[in-house]
Amino acid sequence: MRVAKPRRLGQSLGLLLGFFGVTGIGMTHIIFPGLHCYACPWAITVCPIGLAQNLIIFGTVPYFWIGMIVAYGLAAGRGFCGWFCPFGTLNDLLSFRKVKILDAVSYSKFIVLAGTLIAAWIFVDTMFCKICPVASIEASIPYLIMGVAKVNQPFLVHMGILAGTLVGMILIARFWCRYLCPMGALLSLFNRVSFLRLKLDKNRCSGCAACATDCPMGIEPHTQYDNHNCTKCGRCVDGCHMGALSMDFSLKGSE
Amino acid sequence: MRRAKLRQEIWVHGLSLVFFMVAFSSLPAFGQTPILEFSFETEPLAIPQADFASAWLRVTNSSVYEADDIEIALLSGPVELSPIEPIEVLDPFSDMLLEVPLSLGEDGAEGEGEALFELAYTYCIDDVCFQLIEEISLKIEMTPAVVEPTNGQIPDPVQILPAKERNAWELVFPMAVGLALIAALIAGRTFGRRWWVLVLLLVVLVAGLGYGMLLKQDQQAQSIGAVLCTSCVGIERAPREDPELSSEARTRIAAISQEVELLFFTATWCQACPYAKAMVQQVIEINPRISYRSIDVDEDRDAAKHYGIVQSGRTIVPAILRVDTGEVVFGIENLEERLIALLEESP
Repeated sequence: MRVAKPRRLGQSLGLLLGFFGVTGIGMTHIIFPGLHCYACPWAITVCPIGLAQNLIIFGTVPYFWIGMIVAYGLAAGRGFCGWFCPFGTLNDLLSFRKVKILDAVSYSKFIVLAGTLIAAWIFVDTMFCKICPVASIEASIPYLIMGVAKVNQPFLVHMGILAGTLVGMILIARFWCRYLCPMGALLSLFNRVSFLRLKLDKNRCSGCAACATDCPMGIEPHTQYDNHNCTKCGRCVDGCHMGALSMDFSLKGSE
Repeated sequence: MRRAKLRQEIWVHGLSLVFFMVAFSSLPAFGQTPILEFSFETEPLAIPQADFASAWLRVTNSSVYEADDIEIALLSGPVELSPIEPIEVLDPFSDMLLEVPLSLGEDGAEGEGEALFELAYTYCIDDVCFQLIEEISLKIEMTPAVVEPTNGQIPDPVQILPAKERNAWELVFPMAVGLALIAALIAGRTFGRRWWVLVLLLVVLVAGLGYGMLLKQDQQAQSIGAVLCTSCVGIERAPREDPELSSEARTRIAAISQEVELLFFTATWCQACPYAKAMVQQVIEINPRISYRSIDVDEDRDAAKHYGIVQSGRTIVPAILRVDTGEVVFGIENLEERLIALLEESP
């Protein structure tokens, strides 16, 4: 429960920042540290993946974007997936079947990332956004309710992909985060260097693998505590009977 | 107990870091950016009597739109402006130096003066164009005639130079940032976070954010984010071709006997607006009892808000409003049918 509480707070803050536009504030300069559609009527932050595609279309060398991504990556790496991202929170809520991750397949999200950027270059359009399930929830559905969008082919494509993703998420815990999220791919590059990290005290670990049954990403925290798929959600910390795992936020780095 | 304390620290630190970053990056949000910015590089400009000198005007386009036909004219001042050809196109997020050749008559008094210029330019999204006019002043120092007047003609009137000559830095800097990032990530994955990996990453962070904000890329991010392009996220398709009303639609439109006033809400960045506008124009050509007025929601936010075109601080365009009923038609999906229904409805 100890990590769970602050994490719920973090996820609530993520939702708050994500939908802060309900207050009437317009778009800001902030890049969201997660996958969050900027076309959402209540978004006040820019989607990093949407922005990256637009920068490719405009042919801009993305200094500001790189700076922000490194800042987020260095702060928490994939910790944002577990602690902040609203779509990650939805993944979390549907995490029923915590099956083991297919390590080799989990690199597919890098293919999604590369495909997103290459498609933006080739088609000079934000192709990923048209099939993004986050846009389905945060843009397609709200605009349908507001009477702007209609049930048309692009809408049905969105709904189909959303339905597929939701089924995947119900069958496999954090399915989207594990295999498909391009933002997760970006942040995972920083997982081993980020300030927020999972720490293992090997002297205390009995190797019971109780943590592995708690892990929504399906990794084995007692051996893979610095794995690129770890979202640092801390369920394993709360689940470890021996107190061998802990969360650490330090500027000093590895001991 | 120590661990409990540590955990408390983790989230206190983490949250303060996030708040810090959010506050840091939202600071520039308070400034509104015009489409083009103008500034003279050489101010004040010294011009000897009966001679000429060139002022260099930097034109910066910090928007996502291309600016066209940028023209400069002299409004007032002690100098003469030689004719300059307009800058035809200035790409998004680029800048240019424009040479403004000025001359001073023989009888010009010594001392200081001020010249006022008018700058006109247009920017277009598809068929919808807007002209903007701005004024800029330049301080002039009128100096005594040089002993040997430069026996020159007025310089070649059109000299548009790329603002910054592509120097090595422009290539070296992005490559250095990129290489440092790649090196840091590879090193981080291999060795964990050693001090030098951290330093490399911090260098990329500071260089990226600093240079990016210098280039106003944060503002660029904001303008991209504020654009609700319904076709981009797949709410509808933006047709490239012009609309064509069916013959049945034409008959129904011609049969409308009441006077109808429409308000057409558009925005410069709206990709589907030209299609909708073209259809409204066809409608009023068929039936002169129908009239419309076009409103740019970026310029007239109050009207847009008043009629419910801006919802939750976000603008939705294209939108066609019938004034007497207050009914609104959003978007372009199946527009012909919905527009006729809007027109046929009795108030």
